Amino acid sequence: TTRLEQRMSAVEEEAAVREPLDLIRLALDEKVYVKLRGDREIRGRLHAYDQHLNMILGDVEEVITSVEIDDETYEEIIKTTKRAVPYLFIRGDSVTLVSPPLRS
Amino acid sequence: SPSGVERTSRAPPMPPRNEKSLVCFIQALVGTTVVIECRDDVAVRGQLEFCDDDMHCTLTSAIRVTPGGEKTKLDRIFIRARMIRYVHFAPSIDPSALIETKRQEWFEGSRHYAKAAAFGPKNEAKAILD
Repeated sequence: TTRLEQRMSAVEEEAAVREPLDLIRLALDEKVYVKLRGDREIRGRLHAYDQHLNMILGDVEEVITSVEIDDETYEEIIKTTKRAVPYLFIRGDSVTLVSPPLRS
Repeated sequence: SPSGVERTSRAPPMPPRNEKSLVCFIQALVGTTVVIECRDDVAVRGQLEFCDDDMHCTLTSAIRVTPGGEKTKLDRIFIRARMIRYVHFAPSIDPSALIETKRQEWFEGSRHYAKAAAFGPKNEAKAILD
């Protein structure tokens, strides 16, 4: 195989999607939707990730969902708290789901 | 390769353990002010003193805020890696640039000590000219 062929196959190897983590690699620099433990959802631009799913996201919006039960009527009130931060490092052991962004 | 140092195999050198994951980014933040949000909703703001390869951190001149809003001043606090949910850092920091800069520094540092070990302190001048 020529040098060029070797280099082309090396590039193909790097771009190959073989395992689930490679799907996250395809989402680098794109907006992603991340679900965390504790009913938290995050939308942001994926800057970096690793095998533990530690991530660095930019232009982040975090939504925390909590359910409160009214003392008198006993109905469930779903409350959401939103927060925006320019940059965020997330430790991977909180991450439960990573996905391309949902159209909202 | 420096003379007198035997290589047992032709395998390429493995990257150091911290560079196999994003913990190297947290280690690159040492010296800057960070806010670590913990899994129990306690937030600690302080200067990152040290972070090890497992992401255990110590912060100095810290303020600890509970979800109820209670603030405590602490000279030094140790946070177990597993307790970390988020690490907030200054928006002026560019993550990829910072990792690259720190990686260079760490590499130069380890190279310096490796040469000192290989050539010995007396011959350090010879090693630098290399």
